[in-house]
Amino acid sequence: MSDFDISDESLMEAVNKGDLNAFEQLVRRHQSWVWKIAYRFLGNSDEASDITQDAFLRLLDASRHYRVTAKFRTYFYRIITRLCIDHARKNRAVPIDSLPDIPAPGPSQIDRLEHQELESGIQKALDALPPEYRMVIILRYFEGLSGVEIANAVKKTPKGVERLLARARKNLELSLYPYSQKITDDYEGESDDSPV
Amino acid sequence: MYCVDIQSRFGDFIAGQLARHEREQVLAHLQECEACRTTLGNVDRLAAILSQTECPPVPSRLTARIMAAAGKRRSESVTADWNPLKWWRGATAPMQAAATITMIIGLGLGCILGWTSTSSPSSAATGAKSEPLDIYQLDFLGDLPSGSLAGSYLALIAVTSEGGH
Ligand SMILES: [Zn+2]
Repeated sequence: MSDFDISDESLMEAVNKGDLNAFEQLVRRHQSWVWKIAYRFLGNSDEASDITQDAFLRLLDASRHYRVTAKFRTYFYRIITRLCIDHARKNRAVPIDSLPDIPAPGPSQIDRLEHQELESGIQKALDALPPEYRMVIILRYFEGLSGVEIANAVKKTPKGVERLLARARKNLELSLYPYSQKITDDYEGESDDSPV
Repeated sequence: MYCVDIQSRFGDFIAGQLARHEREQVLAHLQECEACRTTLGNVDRLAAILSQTECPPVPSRLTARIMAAAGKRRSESVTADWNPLKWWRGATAPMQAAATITMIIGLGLGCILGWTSTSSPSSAATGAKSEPLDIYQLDFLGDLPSGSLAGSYLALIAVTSEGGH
């Protein structure tokens, strides 16, 4: 029987009985997506690792109260979203001026730097969003969750989530406008170049 | 259906997560409403922009780090769990009251018995109750036939207590 034949829920029951090997299996299975949510949300690798560790320790502590009624992933989404949002509220946004400077480009680096600039622009736009807006955007666009799944994760109604998403999109569209123009131009440029 | 209701479904619409009849409703509305078509274009474009970002790989030491912290947490919780008075905190108020009363009665009884056992020999020493039957309250042995083992024992302590005076 491979590790993945055992459901997350069964592993949680084993963790409840003190089985740390079962816990390690859960860590290996889920650390990647949990860390990525934290990284996208916080924009910092070390902080993302801290939050991921906290999330798993919460899971360990909560194993005695865990009931198989809730799907494991839904349950864990709640833990990680809560921790990220609380962390963001405690540590107000880093002023953009204090972000590290990107070194001056050499000619061969220009493409890569353009991409870096785009990524850092997107990260800054995300960081500027209120924490709840930022989280619903991450869950929707990077995790691909449906409205109902996001609602379960952030403990809101699906309608409430759609309202949050609509406002978050408006904010992002404004701050990402220059990049969206560039992407459209690039796309149209490529279409013009292509042979008919 | 209002534009706001239709637009609230755009995320699920793009992700292909709408039920068939909902999808058809959205498509029918889009054919007639230019404002919603524009909004959908923006949502789509946002998805395109966000898809340009890459996430760095997960740090290789993350599992080891989490497991070390988990092991520490488990051993701490085992130590915290050992508490001789844990039952007291877990007990209900009536149980605690009953336990307190039982303890007071037990202590009181112990004091009284201790006090009577130390004061009785002194009253025996006055001579008012010099009979072993009275001193040691062995009257249940009183009507034993003389010559039996218990009878001989009574006779022996009677002699000893007289010798003691
Ligand atoms: Zn409309």
